[in-house]
Amino acid sequence: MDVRITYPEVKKKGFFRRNAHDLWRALFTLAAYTCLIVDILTPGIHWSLIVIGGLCVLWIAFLYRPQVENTLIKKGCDVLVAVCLYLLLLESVVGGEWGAFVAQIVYFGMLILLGVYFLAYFRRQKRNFLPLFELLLAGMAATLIMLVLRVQLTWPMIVVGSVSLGIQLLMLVLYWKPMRLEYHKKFHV
Amino acid sequence: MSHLKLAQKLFPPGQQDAVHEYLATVRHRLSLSRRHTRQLLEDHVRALCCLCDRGLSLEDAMARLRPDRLGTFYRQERTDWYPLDHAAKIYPLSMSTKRMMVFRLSCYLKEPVVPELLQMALTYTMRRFPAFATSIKCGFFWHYLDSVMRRWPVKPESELPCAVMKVGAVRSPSLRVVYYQNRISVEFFHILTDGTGGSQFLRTLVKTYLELNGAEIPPFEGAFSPEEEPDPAEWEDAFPITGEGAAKGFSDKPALQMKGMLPLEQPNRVLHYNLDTDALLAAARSRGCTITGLMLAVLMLTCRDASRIDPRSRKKIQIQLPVNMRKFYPVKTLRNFSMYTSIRLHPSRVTTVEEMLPEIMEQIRTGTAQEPLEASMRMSCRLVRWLRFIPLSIKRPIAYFIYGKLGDGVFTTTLSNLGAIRLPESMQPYVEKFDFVLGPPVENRAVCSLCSYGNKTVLTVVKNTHLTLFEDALYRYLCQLGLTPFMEGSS
Repeated sequence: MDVRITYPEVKKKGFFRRNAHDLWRALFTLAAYTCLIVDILTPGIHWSLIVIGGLCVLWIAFLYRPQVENTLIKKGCDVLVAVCLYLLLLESVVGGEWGAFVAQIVYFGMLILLGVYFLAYFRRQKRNFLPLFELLLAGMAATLIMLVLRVQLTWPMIVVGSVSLGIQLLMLVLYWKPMRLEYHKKFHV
Repeated sequence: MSHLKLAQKLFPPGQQDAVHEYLATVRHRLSLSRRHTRQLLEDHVRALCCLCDRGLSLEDAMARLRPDRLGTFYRQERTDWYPLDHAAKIYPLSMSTKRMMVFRLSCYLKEPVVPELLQMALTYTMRRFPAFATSIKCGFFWHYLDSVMRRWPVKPESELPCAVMKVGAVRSPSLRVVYYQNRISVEFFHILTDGTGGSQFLRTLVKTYLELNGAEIPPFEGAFSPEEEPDPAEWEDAFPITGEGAAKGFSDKPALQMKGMLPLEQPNRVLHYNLDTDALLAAARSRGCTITGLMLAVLMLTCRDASRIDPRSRKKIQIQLPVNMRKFYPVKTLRNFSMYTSIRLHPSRVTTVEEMLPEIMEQIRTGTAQEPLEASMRMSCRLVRWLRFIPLSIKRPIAYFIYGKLGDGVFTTTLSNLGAIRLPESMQPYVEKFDFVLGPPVENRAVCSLCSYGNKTVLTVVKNTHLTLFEDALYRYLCQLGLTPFMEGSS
């Protein structure tokens, strides 16, 4: 069976370039498992959780690429969630106020950055607002729940709630018409 | 301004003013990003130069590439968006960096492709297909297609067909137009359309390209004129047309799989079996069956030869057969509107073509009848309805896991028959043939697709293993039927 070749020669990438993602994943998994085993075999605090959490944050920040909507806002939101969860983990392992205090400061700090970026480049970024909207919603919901449950609010938490509400209101006041269309698209069923 | 420099380089000083004036008119019709505007203007300069090199006067070239052919498509901000149709909803949920539902349609011309003119043909064609001029986006519950303002590029072919597309960037296209020698290929992410919609797009693109080349082609059914207004009915999701009634699930028993290790990179190889349509028709008619029935019988034999048969196993050879639902409903939609049936035989009953044909034809008759297909369509509508309020972030990992586990394991292979592609007489002197390539499967070792144009029928096999059992057996059986194919493909 003779086959006439009618396709161009495909330039093959090198092994490492071709499988970079899989190799990184293998390396991260190996490092995580090694830390976990060593940690289990040695007494003391469970430091491996901190390392594994750190690896997860690194993965999300530098190696994970969403296949759809791989945008700056999405990346920023993913990293923010990862960092906040990591700070909560840190607090549960080593104590301190990493989760209750620092995470909230990081949260509103990043929200301000992303909000300013979104509003400043609204025309180009308006279609990528969903991850930011989800974080704004989470910020407002968390503050509201704490108010309803009458948990004493720390000042960073008040700022989280205010910033979330503020950015959301700014979006609607400044860009009501285009935002309405975007909401319609994003929440269609 | 690189397009002006390019014009300076390509045109003599006496024509500079006319070219500059022309480019200013084109520029007036563009409101894209700086990069895309520059590239589109350069496309115009290159196409003008190409037409002048072919003996046209500058005025005639400008008339052929008149700026009003762009319409307002590249100037007016687009706000249109399109929810995915019922069939398309699973594709973005189940894709990965190495797995994506892409298919390709190619048209082979009798002359080498002129990239400059093909680029302009695509630029004009896209305005007639606004739902294809989109990028996939995430909603809270479902993905959707959002309109994109950009230049749609034509590129030389550099990868195997149906390679994974990068759809993550803000304005990433969901289709790819490539050329190689005399072949124009369009690869579609399946969320956009099915084979019927794809062939409509390809025919429109080729028609526009040939017109830019100087051919006079009157309007014909099967291709649009880029200047006409798109009909909203073309972007309708036709699945709910079936209404209420009995619904049937998609679940099936695992099928027999062919031998061979799955390669790291897919597809492993693409092979085209070029057949004579008259001979194929005669072979089918002499056995009292259709071409699809005959090919299914041949594929049954081929799959049996390429599989490790365990006589105690109950697993059957199951061939997925997509069915175009437009034959039951006269809809205009260019979106996905096909279902599938499964043709199955236990390996012990796979004997000879003549013995299998009555059983296969009966299965085709019952499986491709309107009622069972409608029941499957209703099931897909129900599934979408049940899942609609589950957030995408929860749906996606579950769908990915289920699709990865089940995937195409309920089939041994697929035979997608696009049927005859028809062109008007005025286009026939320029077109040699068409072919249709399915994207690489997940677990199946090979999938097949068939399309014909004139007296040329092309059976395409997309391989997913290094073993050559399947293609060798297929070639042997086709030769036995007196249909010795002319083989083409990738290395």
